[in-house]
Amino acid sequence: MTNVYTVATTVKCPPGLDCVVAQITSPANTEIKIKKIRITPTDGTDTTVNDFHRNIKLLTESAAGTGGTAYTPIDIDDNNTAAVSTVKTGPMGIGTISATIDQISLHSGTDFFWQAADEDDKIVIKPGEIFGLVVNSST
Amino acid sequence: MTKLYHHDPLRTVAVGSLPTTSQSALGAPTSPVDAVTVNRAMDTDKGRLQISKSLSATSGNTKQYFTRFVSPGLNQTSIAANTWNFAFACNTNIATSNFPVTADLGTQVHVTVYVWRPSTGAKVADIFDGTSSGTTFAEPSALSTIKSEFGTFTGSAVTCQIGDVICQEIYFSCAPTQAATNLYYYDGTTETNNTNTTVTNHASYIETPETLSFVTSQTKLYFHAANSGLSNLPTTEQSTLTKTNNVDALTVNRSMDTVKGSAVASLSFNLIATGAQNNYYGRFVSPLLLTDVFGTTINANTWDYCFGFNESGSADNFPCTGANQSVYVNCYVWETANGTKLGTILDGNSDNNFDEDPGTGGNNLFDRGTFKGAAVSSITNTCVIVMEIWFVVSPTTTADVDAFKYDGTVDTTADMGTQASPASFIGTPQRLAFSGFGTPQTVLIEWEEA
Repeated sequence: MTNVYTVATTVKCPPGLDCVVAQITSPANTEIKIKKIRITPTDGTDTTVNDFHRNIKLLTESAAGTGGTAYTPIDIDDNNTAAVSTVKTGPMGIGTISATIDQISLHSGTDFFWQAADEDDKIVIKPGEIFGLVVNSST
Repeated sequence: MTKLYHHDPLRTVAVGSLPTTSQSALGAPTSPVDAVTVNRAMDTDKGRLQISKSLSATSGNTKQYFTRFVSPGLNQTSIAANTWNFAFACNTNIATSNFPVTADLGTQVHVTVYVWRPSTGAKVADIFDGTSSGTTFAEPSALSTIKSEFGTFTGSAVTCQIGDVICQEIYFSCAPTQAATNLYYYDGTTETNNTNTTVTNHASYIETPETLSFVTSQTKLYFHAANSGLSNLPTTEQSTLTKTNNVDALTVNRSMDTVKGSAVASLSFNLIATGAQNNYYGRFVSPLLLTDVFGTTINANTWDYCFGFNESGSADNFPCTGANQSVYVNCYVWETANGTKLGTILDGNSDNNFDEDPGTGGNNLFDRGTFKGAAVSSITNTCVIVMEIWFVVSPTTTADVDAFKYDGTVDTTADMGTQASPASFIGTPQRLAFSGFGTPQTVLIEWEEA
């Protein structure tokens, strides 16, 4: 049986610096698959139009960076068991990069939304590997 | 388009070195006005009061060196080939000086402009080193009168690095046949983009059509009246100076962060004695540094230090005495985990680019200057940056009030411009990160576990 979990958070990113906003560490005996990612600018409280840019990277890491706050994953099916992956939210440092899966630059007027098109499109994280979502915000 | 105006204050760099010899094809000058080790500033702001450099030329003195101007650090990796403008003002007392042109009755001047790399202490390449273009330069049309000069030169493309600087040597090749007194004028307020107009307060400059980008503060810490909410902060001043008077109590730790203020505040001192005194105004503390993101070292850099002030009378000599002076800076990194100073960024004088109110006082002015900060390493996530506001002054009156103004909304006012709501700050070209500060990003990741 496959269970689906989420991490949903708001992170303050220091301007002009790469920071990991969320990282998911796959346990030693379990493979995980990333199926959906969404990043929207600001926390929704702004009353004026924002004008800045963001560089977004999807990474796998063999070692995690420092910092961050432990986060309890949310199971989208309330009947399921708790996640076995460990999750931290940033801002935190980048660790040892295994691969940069995707990189995109967006204006603050555009949201980043990615969803796997099918089973083969899901991002597979090997047991013991780390998935990191990195944002570099221009302001 | 970028104009680099010539100024009198010296230019120094936090890392590396600037030229100490002439780099011109003219070779070593015969009797330079400024020593060839002197580097003055040029930047994109006009000056305020015309300055002159006077050279006593003997007959046959063809190598007439006045001074060198140096730009801020470039924030780009190439300079495009372009036709540059060169505007200045000059004066000579005798027609046979043949100044500033390259030959008797000439219409060109020698121009020396190049890119210098402070980190290696070496010239990168010439933008131009030779005789100007066209025929627009000329000897002054009247003797002992300040006349404008305007012309062009053909600048080459140069591949450079971030942090390199543009240098211009004011170095003319003339053919005097009698002794003469020749003057070069700069640092004034008024452009005169032609030749042989009589001027009194001239803004001399070089100009390229390209928009050049210079290194500026990437991290600004604005001073706020509200106290810091952190614990284990300093309870007394940390300077090597001995305090004469204090405005805030020494236990007060106000805050500074990356967000401008909303309402101007003042730290005001009522002068109670004349003579030299070290006046402590207050202390500002940053949020906790986020070393996970930017690293564990604050780099050696030239920091901006910009603040509002009001000197109620010209006898106060506040925040310094006269123009192009230093102010005292005590900036350091504090470890809140054990309540000790981790390292000093600067406990000493700033660069000589601060000014007193040039008038009789009573004006709300914005003083822009810089200081050289040393590197501090082994920083942790429990460290903060602390800035103590000191003014070493020598008032000749006791009747006045001198105010350091901050927590306002505007940080873009020109140096010594009027500003009633100054967002006073320190800034470094380094990108620093602070806990709890930055642009929010709202994130969702969804994944499967088998």
